[in-house]
Parts: sequence; structure tokens; C-alpha cells
Amino acid sequence: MDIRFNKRKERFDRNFKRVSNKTLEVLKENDLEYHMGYFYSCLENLFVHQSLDSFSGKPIIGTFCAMVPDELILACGGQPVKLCGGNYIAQIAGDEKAPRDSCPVVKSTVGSFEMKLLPVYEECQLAIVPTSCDGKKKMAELIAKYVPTVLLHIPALKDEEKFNDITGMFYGLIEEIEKRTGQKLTKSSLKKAIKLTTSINKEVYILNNYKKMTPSVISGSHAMAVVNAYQYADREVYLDEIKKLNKHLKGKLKQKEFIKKSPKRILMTGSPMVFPNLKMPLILEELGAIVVADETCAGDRMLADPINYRENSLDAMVKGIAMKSILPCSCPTFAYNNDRLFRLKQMVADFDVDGIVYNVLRGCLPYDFEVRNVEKLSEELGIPVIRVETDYNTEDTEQIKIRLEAFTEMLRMK
Amino acid sequence: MTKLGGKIRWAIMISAFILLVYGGRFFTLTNNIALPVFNCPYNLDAVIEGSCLYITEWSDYLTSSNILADLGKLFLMYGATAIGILLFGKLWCGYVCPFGLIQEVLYKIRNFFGLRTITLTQKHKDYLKVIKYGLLVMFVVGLGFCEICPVRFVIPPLNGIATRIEVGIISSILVLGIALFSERFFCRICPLGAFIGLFHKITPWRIKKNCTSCTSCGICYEVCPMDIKEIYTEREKEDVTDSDCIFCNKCIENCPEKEALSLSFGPHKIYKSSRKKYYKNNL
Repeated sequence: MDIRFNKRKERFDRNFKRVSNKTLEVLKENDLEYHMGYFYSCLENLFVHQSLDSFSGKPIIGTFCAMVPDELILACGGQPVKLCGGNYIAQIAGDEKAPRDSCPVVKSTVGSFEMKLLPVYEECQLAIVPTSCDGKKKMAELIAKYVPTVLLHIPALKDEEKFNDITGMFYGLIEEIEKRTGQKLTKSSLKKAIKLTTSINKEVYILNNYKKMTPSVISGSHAMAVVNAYQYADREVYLDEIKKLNKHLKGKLKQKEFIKKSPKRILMTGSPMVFPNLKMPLILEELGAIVVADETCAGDRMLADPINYRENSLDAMVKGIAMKSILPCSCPTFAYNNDRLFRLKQMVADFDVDGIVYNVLRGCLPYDFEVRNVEKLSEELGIPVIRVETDYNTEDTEQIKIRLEAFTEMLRMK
Repeated sequence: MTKLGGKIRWAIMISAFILLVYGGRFFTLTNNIALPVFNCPYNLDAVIEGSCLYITEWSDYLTSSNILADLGKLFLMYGATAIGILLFGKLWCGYVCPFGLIQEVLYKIRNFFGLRTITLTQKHKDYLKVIKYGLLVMFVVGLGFCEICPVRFVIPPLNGIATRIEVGIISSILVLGIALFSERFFCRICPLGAFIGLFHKITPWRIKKNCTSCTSCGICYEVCPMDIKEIYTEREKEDVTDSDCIFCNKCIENCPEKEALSLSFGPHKIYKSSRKKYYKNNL
């Protein structure tokens, strides 16, 4: 039994590395001197070399979704790492543990825990799961077998009147984190953590401004990889590196080293795209379009909104964090989610978008529900939208390519 | 004129405070005009008076026997007040009012020491609304508002003018005490502010919102000292000016979205929110 398990694990491990490496290879191949070495190494260290070197020994706290506030973990001296899985091999590993129709994010997370595919899944001290979609809620129950799990209650309605209660829950979360990291959260440490993430937020905003330009100096899939690497990096090092990247891009802009002359500009939205599942943006860019805007939760949404606290007190800071985690979040698990449509509308205007690609992971119902709203919006704006349903499997790459080729062709004819 | 918020507002407020409270020591104006701010007329050094006394005791001024002789003076007092209210609306509260400055300084002191704030619930706010309009009636009808006015026991003593110990001192201690823990507390019940607010629909100064770029992050509602919720929940109308708004422009300063909120004079947008400004103010 043990031997069989070990053999199986070996096979999974090997393939896991292969899949992760493949995405990295494609990214590196298409790299037009972006100087992204650090961001590749972040992803490579964790997913290919399977080492925890980038975290410099801090206790690892696992998070899910875009709603778990990293600041609280950083302030307690922990290292937040996103545990949402994006690997096809892990999805296969999780197939038996999770129901057939659950989404690949859940399956691959459970699979990673079950087969111990990455050292982060073994080493992490605590997993914080927000009660966003049903999949995540039940996943919390499944992974509680492997790791201490705490649920962060996210209300289904954004009700600002009840915010004082919600802030109380975040205090509960702080206590849990403190227990694991053994370090108390203080006002000054939280202030420092907020300043750190706000600085990163600012740099990502600057990076997004480069994407807004026509012609652009960085391709969407690479920018997506940069933002993805945020979840797996030591935040202070990340801040320095993204500053360097922005400086480098500024230089490129001065020397007019643009990528492609006049590509069709795509807005990517829908289900989360976690590394190494950058299938869709990579296909789109292979077809000559570029992904300029990204409204997915493993991408820009995670870093889109800054934290604001009104007063110089711990209470105000925790409330500011709670508000930032919930109110501007455009996750479709909120019952009424007009905010997302407004955000998409604004992004279409800001990024000068030609077409919207709506990615639905198989089994991701909340996003699938909202396709109708987005279609209606796109009709109103006169911008075509295509819904592509897929999972982490790469077998359907060719079919997707044919559909997206027709889509980009249509954009060109328009 | 693109940066009217933040530092410029403080500069205007502080210079207005010095001018209104201590100005009389440096120079005097022969023809005294009155502005719609709480600047106590008991402070004899005021170079420009607040019109609060003339509004609340209008019966003394408008029905006196020698009204014809004082016509010029009355016209200056009431005319300046009326024009001020119609032209600038509640901008007086956020930019000029000396009592407003005192409250903001108190708030800054509390913030410096990191003391806890009082969060007012909807119930409290409803009570305060009743008190506000009660005081407004008392103020406009002229039932001796000065006797309980908290400003009277704050502004004149700041200039070294002693006032008699009266009931009003209790209200001023109460108001200042609460204002220390709740930003601009008196502005919530200020009858003069409520009076100006009655005309808020016709003033050319507006707070405008671009509902598309708003992400409803709630920062504007959180920083608003008056707790105006409409500015955050509004998703259709462009004009979000509320009769309670004191034009402190904190929502615009702290709004992270591009042109989501702006202060406009007629059709001209004078102060707009942007991410760049947000990082400047918050990093």
C-alpha cells in the first residue's frame, strides 16, 4: 500500500513539475527583455524546485481567495501564501476526494493536500478560507483533515451597517494567526504591514498604467505572472523587485521598445487563473491579441483596491482592512454584484478594450451565472464577448485556439 | 486651481480663524459685514462678524424704531449673509468657520494620541437630527439661542474676553468633550449649518460622483465626518450633494478612483479624486 502510494506520489510529483515548468518555459520564451528574473524564480522555486527558500523561514499561513487580508498575517510576522491550486496534475489527484462537478480550483487544492505535492501544503501552519462560494466552504471541511483551518465569514450581502460585527470577526482571525506565528500584532506592526501592501498596490497600479498604453510595453500574460508571483513571494523583496521592473519598463517606454504594433486588446475576466494555468492569456497572445486588462481574482482584483483607515488607532485599521476585503470586492459570490459590471465598464473605457474573454472553469457556477449580465453589458457597450468553458486540462487547447482565433479574427474585421 | 483640497483648505481655515478671531487687533473695518459662520459677536476683536447673532435676534434689528437710519448697516449685514449663503452654501463650514477649525484641531489631538472614537449608530443619528432641527427652530424664531450656544464660551475666551458664567458653559464643555471623540460633532447639530443647508439646492458648489468608476469601497462614507451614506450608495445620479455636507472634501481626498468624486462649481470640476492623489495623501 505504502509503496503504491509512494510510486503514485512520485508520478504526480514529476508531472506536477512538468506542468509548472511548461508554463514558465512559454513565458520565458516570449519574454521581450522584461527583466522578470525574480518573478520567474519566485514561481520556479515554489512550483518546480519545491523549495521554501523565498520565505526566509517565516511561519507560513495559507490563504484563499482575494478576501483574506495579507496585512494581518504580515503584521503577526507570518508569510501569507495563496493555496488556491492551479495545477492540472493536482486536479487529477483531487478527483477522488472532491465531487465530480466541483471546480478545478477546489480539486487541485484538495489534491495538493492529499498527495503532499508541494512543501507549502505540508509546512503551512494555518489555512484561512473565506466563505465565498460553496466550493470553498466545503473545501474547508475537506482540507481540515490535513491542516488547521479557520473560516473567515464573508457575508452574502455587502451591508455596511453591520460592519462593526464583521470587524469583530477579523479580531478573531488575528487571534488565530497570533497563536500560530507566536508573535503579537501591534499597532505599529499593522501600520507597517499596511504601508507595505499599499506600496505594492501602488506599484501594481503603475504596472497597470503601462498596460493601459497603446502600444503597450508589457504583455498581459507576463504582467499576470508578475501579479501571480505576489502570492508566493516575500513581500518586502517583491516590493523592491516590482519597483525595479517598473523602472525598467519606464526605460523601455522612453526608447520606444513596444510590443506588437496594433494588436487587438482583450479584457480577461471570469474564474480565477492561478499559476500555472495561464492557458487562456498565452493562447490569446499566441494568436496576436494582447491581454491588457485582467479582472480575475488571482490577478489584478487582488491588488486593485487600497486600504484606507480613517484614524490612527488599531480599531480603525482593522475596520479599514475589513472594509477593503469585502466592500470593493467584485466576487460573484455576493448576492447582488452590480459592482462588477460597473468595474468592467470602467475597465473597458480605461484600457481601451476591443473584446472581452470570459473564462469559466468547469464547475464554477457563480461566474457562469454572471455571464448573462456581462453579455448584456457588452451589448450595451458594443464590445463582443466570448464565453470559454474549460478546466486545467490542456487537451482542449486546440479547440479553444480555434474558437479564440475566430474571435480575434472577428475583432480584426470589425 | 486643481488642488483645492488638503493643505489649501487648512491654510484657508487657519487664516480665516486668525482674521475672524484676532483680526480686530491688527486693523478695523469701518463698515462691518457679517458672514454666515459661527464667529461669536461677543468677541469684540472680530474684524468680520459672524451673522449668527443677527439671524437669531432678527427681531431686535429688523423691528427697531430707527430701522431707516441703520438701513445701510443692516443691508451690509443681512445682504452679505444672504449672498454668502447663496453663493458658497456650506463651503463656509468646511473652509471658514472658526468653530469648525477648533473641532478639527481637537480631532487631530485625539488622533495623535490614538484614542478610540465613538461610533454613532443610526439611532443616535436620528436623535441628533431631531435636536438639530429643534435648535434650528429655536435659532430662527429667536428664543435666545445665545444663552445655550457653546461657541459663546469658546471663541471670546480664546481672545481673552471673559464671559459671564452661565448655563451655556455646560453645553460648550459637553459639545467640546464629545467633539474630541467624534469628529466635528457640533456640525451635526449646528443650527446655522442647518439653516444654510435649507438653501443647499441652489448653491453652485456641488459634490459630483462618477458612478461608473466608483467601486463602492466605502472609503468616502468611512471618512465622512457627517456620515453621509448617499455618497457611497448612489449608483445613478451624478449630483450627490447632501444638505448635511460641510464640504470638508475628505471624501475626495481619500477616494482612490479616477474622478469618481469631484468638487464642482457649476459645470467646472475644480477638485477631482485620483489614485495619484490618494497615494500622495495616504502613503
